[in-house]
Amino acid sequence: MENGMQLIISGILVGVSYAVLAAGLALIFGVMKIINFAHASFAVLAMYFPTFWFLQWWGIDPFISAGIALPLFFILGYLTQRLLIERVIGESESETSTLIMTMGFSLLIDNFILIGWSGAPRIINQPYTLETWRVGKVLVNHAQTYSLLISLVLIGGLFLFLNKTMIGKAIKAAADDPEGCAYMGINLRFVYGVAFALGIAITATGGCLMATYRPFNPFYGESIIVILFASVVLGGMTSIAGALIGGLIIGIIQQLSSLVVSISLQNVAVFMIFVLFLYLRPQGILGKRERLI
Amino acid sequence: MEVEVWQKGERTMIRRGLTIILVSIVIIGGFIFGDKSKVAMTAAPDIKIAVVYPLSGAFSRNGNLTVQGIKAAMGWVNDNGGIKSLGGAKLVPVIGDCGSTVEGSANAMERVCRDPEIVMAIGSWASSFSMSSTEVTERLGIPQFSEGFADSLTERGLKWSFYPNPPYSTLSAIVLPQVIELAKNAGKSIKTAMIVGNNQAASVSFYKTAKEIFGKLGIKFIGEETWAIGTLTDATPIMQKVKALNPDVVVYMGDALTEIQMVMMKKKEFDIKTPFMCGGGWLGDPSLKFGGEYLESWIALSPSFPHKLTPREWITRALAQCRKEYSNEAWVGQELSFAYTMVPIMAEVLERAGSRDRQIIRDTGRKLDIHNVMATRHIVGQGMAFDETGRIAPKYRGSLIVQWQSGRPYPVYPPNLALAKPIWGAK
Repeated sequence: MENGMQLIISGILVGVSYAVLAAGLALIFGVMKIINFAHASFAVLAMYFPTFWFLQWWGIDPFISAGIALPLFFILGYLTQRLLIERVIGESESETSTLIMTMGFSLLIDNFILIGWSGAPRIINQPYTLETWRVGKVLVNHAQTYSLLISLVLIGGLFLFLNKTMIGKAIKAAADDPEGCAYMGINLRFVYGVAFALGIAITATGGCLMATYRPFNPFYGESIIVILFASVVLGGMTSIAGALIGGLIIGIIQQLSSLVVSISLQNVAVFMIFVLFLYLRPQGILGKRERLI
Repeated sequence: MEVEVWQKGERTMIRRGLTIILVSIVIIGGFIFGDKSKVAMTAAPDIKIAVVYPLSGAFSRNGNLTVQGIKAAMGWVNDNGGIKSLGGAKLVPVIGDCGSTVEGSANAMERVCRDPEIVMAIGSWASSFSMSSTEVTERLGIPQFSEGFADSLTERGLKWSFYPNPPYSTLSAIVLPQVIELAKNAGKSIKTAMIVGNNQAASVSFYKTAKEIFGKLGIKFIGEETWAIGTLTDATPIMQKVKALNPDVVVYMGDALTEIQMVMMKKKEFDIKTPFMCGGGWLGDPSLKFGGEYLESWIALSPSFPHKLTPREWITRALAQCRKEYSNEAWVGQELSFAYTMVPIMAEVLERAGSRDRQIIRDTGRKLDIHNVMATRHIVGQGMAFDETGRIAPKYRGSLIVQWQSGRPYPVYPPNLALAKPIWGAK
């Protein structure tokens, strides 16, 4: 019983991390229809800079670095979209071009980290990294709990931004009907730039939070990008809320599957449930029936 | 009109003149500033050695450290006169990146060995990678040295491979009874064990031997959790099982450093006191110093780790070389010291062969039998000879037990090579 409870708690804590990263991916895909293969790589970059290096150089706590990462990666994402991705949007075969372009970014970022900071896996060693609260026989990690709380604030902030600000509403409109937006005088280039930047900023902040409780190396992104895509598809492709739920479900399944199958089949179990779910509901959890973006 | 033709002719002459002058400067400059060793007609040509390791991908750190160690070891050979029987020829590494994949290992070795001047090869860290690179060198007839431990490496009947480290079956047979002895001396009785780790070739060899040896000692295996190397995303379910089953000892194998860190963090987080006994010396990697206090009393077995008899110069060279080209390491671990089980022996083989002919080199290597010389200082058994499979001869096989104490690893067994006394279990 305690074993199951421990795994559910761990699943929720891990799932929320996936959910934040998947939310950024869903935002980018939902607005711009871009499959961003470099998504997890941006998260890994944020784990190194600012999280790890600000701690090493100036003793800045990783949770503060997460706040610094938000505007930093917003700017990086905006520049990436306006200077590079925008060049191929609207051209023929632009979907293929953006796919290959983002795969290229992924390789560039991973190997830039490798060359600049070596392949040595890093861990953040703060007092809260391995401390736990004991709830009965269940242990709840401090760092993961703080990350959960900050993630909830981040997600709440995202929804407020999208629903209560003019630019947020413009992003939603562009996702629904880009042509109509253009006729209404909305600057689509700027809107796309902001949407991409926001997606990257959210992801980078999520990466900073993940770094507080798990080791990371330059190629960590490769091991989670497929899970992020699965979360987005499970959630309903263009739905941020759906991606959040998808990430959470995948996190929980990953942990609970160890009760019935070997750890080596963890991801097999995840994708079996994923395929089964899509068979029963092809549009995903919040696919067509309800979109909160 | 006449003036125009004359001016055009003059411009062409000026351009030609300038081109001749520029080319002359380049050629003369090449002679003046070029590599003096190539200019000196009497220097022996370099001895090229193919070096294929994972320099990118998930195992880039392991591969890069090994390559830096190889460069340091070759530097030591070269600074001590090179291969004297070949006119003082220097060893030169020709490096290939296998990209942390099995296919990459074969492709890289194939690519590097296209150079007909390659006389020997070294590679490729993971047993699975070595499996594929040695298939290439076997086909090309190039003697290859490999640090691989998997028993399956020498079960293929290859004639061109050399393995200066003992197989896992031997490492386990030497070390595991010592671990039980260690527990007994600490007043602990080991009745149950559990396997946790990846399922690559070397690991499976280790588990198999551990089961045989522990079985003979009456120790029962009560659980097994294995995964494909590089696929572990969270260690919670595994450590939850360890906590639930509560074995007396865990037999652990996890070569990917990130996975080791995940497991050790969860062990500490869940306050699991069960001693972990690891089948690989990568546990002594300096990158783990970031969580060194979590590894207190963890034991690892390794045939290559700096010990009492390892020349200090070799250690300082390895650290300096690594600092120059890769990273500033806190100490020399297994990967950085692997080269010293191979390169000095390769140099000795070349010295005795007195030839760049691959067949002669191979035959000389297979007949080698040396002990208590400089080239064998870092080998645990202090000697080197190869059996018919190319593996180090049984009389020279040995293994160290390395243990984390106070934030860094020390060899604690055998006593004549130990730098610290062994302890049992975390406090």
